[in-house]
Amino acid sequence: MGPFIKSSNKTSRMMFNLLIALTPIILFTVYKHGYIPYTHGQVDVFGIFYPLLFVLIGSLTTFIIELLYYLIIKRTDEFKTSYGFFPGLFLALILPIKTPIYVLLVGCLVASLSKIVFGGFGRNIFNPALIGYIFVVATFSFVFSTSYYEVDTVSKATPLTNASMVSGIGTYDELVKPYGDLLDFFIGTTPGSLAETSTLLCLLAFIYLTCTKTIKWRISLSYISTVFLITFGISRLLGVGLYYPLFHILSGGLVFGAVFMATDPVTSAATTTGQIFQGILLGILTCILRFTTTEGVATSILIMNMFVFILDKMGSRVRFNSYACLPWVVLVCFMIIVSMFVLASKKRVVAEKDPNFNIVNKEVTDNKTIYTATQKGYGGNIKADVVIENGKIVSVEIISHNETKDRYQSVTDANYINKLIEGQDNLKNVDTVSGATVTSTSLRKLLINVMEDFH
Amino acid sequence: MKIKIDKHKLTDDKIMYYNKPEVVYIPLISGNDTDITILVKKGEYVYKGGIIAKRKGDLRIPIYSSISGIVLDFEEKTCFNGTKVKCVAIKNDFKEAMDKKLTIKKNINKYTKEEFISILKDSGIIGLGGAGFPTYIKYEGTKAKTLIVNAVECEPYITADDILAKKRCEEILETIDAILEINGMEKAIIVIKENNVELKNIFDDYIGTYLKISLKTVKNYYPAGWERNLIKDATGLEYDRLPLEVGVIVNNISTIYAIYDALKYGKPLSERIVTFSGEGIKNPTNILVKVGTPVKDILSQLKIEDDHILISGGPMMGIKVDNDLVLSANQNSILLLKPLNCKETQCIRCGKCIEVCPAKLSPVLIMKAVNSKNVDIEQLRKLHPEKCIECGLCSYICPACISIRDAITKAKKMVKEVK
Repeated sequence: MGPFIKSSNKTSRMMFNLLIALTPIILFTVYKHGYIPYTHGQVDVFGIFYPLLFVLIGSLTTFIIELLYYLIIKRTDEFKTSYGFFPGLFLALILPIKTPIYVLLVGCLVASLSKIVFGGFGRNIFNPALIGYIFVVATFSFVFSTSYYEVDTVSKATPLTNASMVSGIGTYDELVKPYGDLLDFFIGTTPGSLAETSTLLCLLAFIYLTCTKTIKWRISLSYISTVFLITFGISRLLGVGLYYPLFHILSGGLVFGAVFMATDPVTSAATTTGQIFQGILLGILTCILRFTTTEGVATSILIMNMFVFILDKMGSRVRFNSYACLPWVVLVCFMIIVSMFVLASKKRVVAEKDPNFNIVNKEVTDNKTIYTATQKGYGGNIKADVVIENGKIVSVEIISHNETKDRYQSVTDANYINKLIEGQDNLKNVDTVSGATVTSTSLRKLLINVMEDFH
Repeated sequence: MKIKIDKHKLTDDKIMYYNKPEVVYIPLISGNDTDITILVKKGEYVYKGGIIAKRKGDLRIPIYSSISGIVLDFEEKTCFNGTKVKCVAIKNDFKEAMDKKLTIKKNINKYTKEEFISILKDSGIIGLGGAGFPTYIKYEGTKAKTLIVNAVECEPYITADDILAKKRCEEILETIDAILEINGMEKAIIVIKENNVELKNIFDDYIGTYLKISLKTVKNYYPAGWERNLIKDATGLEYDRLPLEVGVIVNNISTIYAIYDALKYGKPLSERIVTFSGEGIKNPTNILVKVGTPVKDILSQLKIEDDHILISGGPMMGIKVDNDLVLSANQNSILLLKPLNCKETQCIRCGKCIEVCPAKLSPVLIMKAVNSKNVDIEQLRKLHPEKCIECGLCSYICPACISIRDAITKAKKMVKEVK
C-alpha cells in the first residue's frame, strides 16, 4: 500500500536534532559548573569535566536499564529505536550539580521504570525524566538545599528559593539584585540545576528545534506567554515593575522545561489546539505552584500529562468545528483571571504582616525600647535582641540561630550587623552578603519589622 | 500546514502512441462498481465503439470496445484499483472498423442540453481524474453557474493532463465555451499550478477570445487538486458535501477533452493519455493508449529496470499492482518505483499527521482507536474517519514510517459496516 514516496522526516533525525540543541547547553554547564569553579581553585582539572561525566552517567544508566529490559523480553530490535539515553540525560540536566551519584542512579532507575511499565518508548503517559526528578525531590529532598547547587564553597540560594523567603511580592532589590541584573538571569549565571539557568541557550535551542520541526513549539510558546501574562497581571495589581514578570520567566526551570520537557512528543498533546491549551494550563499551574511552593514546572508538566487525552479529544473536535473550543477558552480565561487576583492578594496579605517575624518580648523604659524578636532564616528562626534609643537602633545582638556555619561566618565576616545599624535610615538599600543571601536578608528583614512595629 | 512535493518532471514534451495492441481486455468496471451486464458473446464480432456491456442500476453508462475484432473470451485481469475484474478479451483485427460513420459537427455549441446529456451518457464519459464517476450526472438538471476545470494534477510524476492541455489547448477552450453555452452557465475557471508557467503561457495566448473563461493559478502543494481545495483556492467558496451546493461543477481537463471528442465527432471514450514514469523507467513518457491495453505490452516497449514495483496511479494515492494490469479510462499513470526502504517504528505522537491532514482529521487518534483491542465504534465515529480522502499525506509525513492511511481506511470501513 502507498504512498510510495516518503518525506525525509524520520524519528531518528528528530532525536538527533534534540541532541544538537542540547549540546550548547551541556557545554555551558561544563563552563559554569566546571570551568568557573576551576578558575576559583575550588576543583582540580578533572572537576572541569565533572558536569559532563554527571550527564554521561545519567544517560548511560537509563540506556543500560532499557537495554536489559529489551534483552529480557527479547525484543532487541525495538531497543534500537527506543532512545533509552534521553530520560537519564534530561534527569541529569535538571538536578543540582552536587547531587550524589547514587541519587542520580536511583532517579534514573525510576525514570526508566516509569517508561517500561507503560510498555516502553512511545507508550508512556508521563515524562520519564520528570518522574525520576519528582522521585528524587520526594526521597532525597536534601539534594535541593542551596549548598548542592553550586560548587562554590559559599553558595547562594536559587532565585526562586530566595523569592519564596521574601515577604510580600519582592522588590527588584530583593529578587534580582542579589544575583546581578536581569541580563545575568538571561545568560544564566544564576544558581540552579545543571542546565536550567541559561534562558539564552534555551531560546536558541527553541528556535533551532522549531525551524527543524522537531518540537511542538505551540506548547512552549503558550506556556511561557501564560506565565508572563499572569505574573504581569500580578505586577500591575500590586504596582511593581516589569522586572517581576521577567524574573519569573527567567528564573527556575521554566524556559528549559517549556522547550524540552513539556514538548516531549510522546507525553504531550498531538492536536494543535490541544497543544495550545496544554501550554496555557501549564502556565496557570506553574504560577499557582510557584506562589504556594518554590518551583512548579516539573509538577505541572506531570499533572498535564494526565490530561493530554482530554486535550486531544477537544483538539480533534475543534478541527471540524472551531466553536468546540469555546468552553475551554472561557475556562482558561476564568482560571487566568482568578489565579491572577488570588495570587496577587496572597502576596499582598503577606506584605502587610510578615509571618516569618515574631516579637517574643518588648520592654519599654523612658526613651529606650528593647525588642526580643525572631525572624525565619535559612535554617530556622534567628533570635535577636534589638535595642532602640531615641528612635534609633543602637545595638543588635544575636541570641540564637540555626544558620549553617559557613553562612553565618560570612555574615559576621562582612560585619553585616554594623552595616545594618549604619544604614538603618534606609534599610531596604543595604546590600545583602553574597554567599549568604538568605541569612543576611533575614537579618535585614528582622530590623525592618522591628522598626515597623516601633513606629 | 501545506506540503509541497516536487514534481518529478518527465524528460520530454512528446506524446507517444501505442495503438496496435494484439488483444485488449476491456475491464467490466464502472467507477468501483462491477455489477455489469455483458452484451456480447464469445466469438462475436465487435466494432470499435460498439457497446459490449452496460452498468446495472441508476447510473447507467455503457462500456465500449476500444478496437474492432472478435471476442475471444472473458478473463480475470488486474484493474486500476488492484482488484481482479472480469474483462472482455477482444482480438484486434487492426481495421478500426466502426458501425457508424463519424460525423463532424462544425459548431459544438449548437446542441440542446438534452442532446448534450445523452451524448455524455452514450459516449461513456467518466471523470478521468481518477474517480471514474459518470460525468453526465453533474450536468443533469443542474443549476450550477460556474465550471471549474481542474488542470492542477498535484501528484508527483504525473503529467498526463499537463501534456494534453498543452497540445489541445484550443480544443479544450472551445469545449468549455460550448459547455457554458449549452448549460447556460456564467463562467469557467481553469485552475493550474502557479509553477506551471509553460501551460499558463500557452493558455494566455488563446484565452483572450473567450470572455467567460478565466485562468487561475494556485499554490503548488499537495493535494491542491482535491475538489474541496481546488474550489476554495479558485473561488474562496466552501461547501458541506457536494460542490453543487455552491453552484460549482468540477471537471478534469482530460474529461473536457473527452467531451470534445464526443461532441465534435461522436467518438466514445476509448483511449487516453497515460504517464509512464518513475525511477524504473529510463525513458519516462506520456503514451496515448487504448482502453484495455495490457500494461505488459507497453512496458516491453520501454527501457525498464528490474527490482522496481509497479504502481497503478500516482505515488501518493496509487496502489501496488502485478503486471497483469490492463489500462482503464480513468488510469492516469503507471509508475515503476523503488520499494521504500523504511522500517516502521513506534509512534511518538509528534502530531505531524494531524498538521498535514487536508480533511482536518486527527489520523494518529483514529489509528490508536482502531488498533485498540476493543474498538469503541462510537468513539471512532466521533473522529469522522469517513471524511478521509486517502491522499496519503499522513503516511508520507510520518517520521516513524507508519502506514497511517491504511489504518484510517480500516476505520472508514468499520464505521461504514457497523451501523
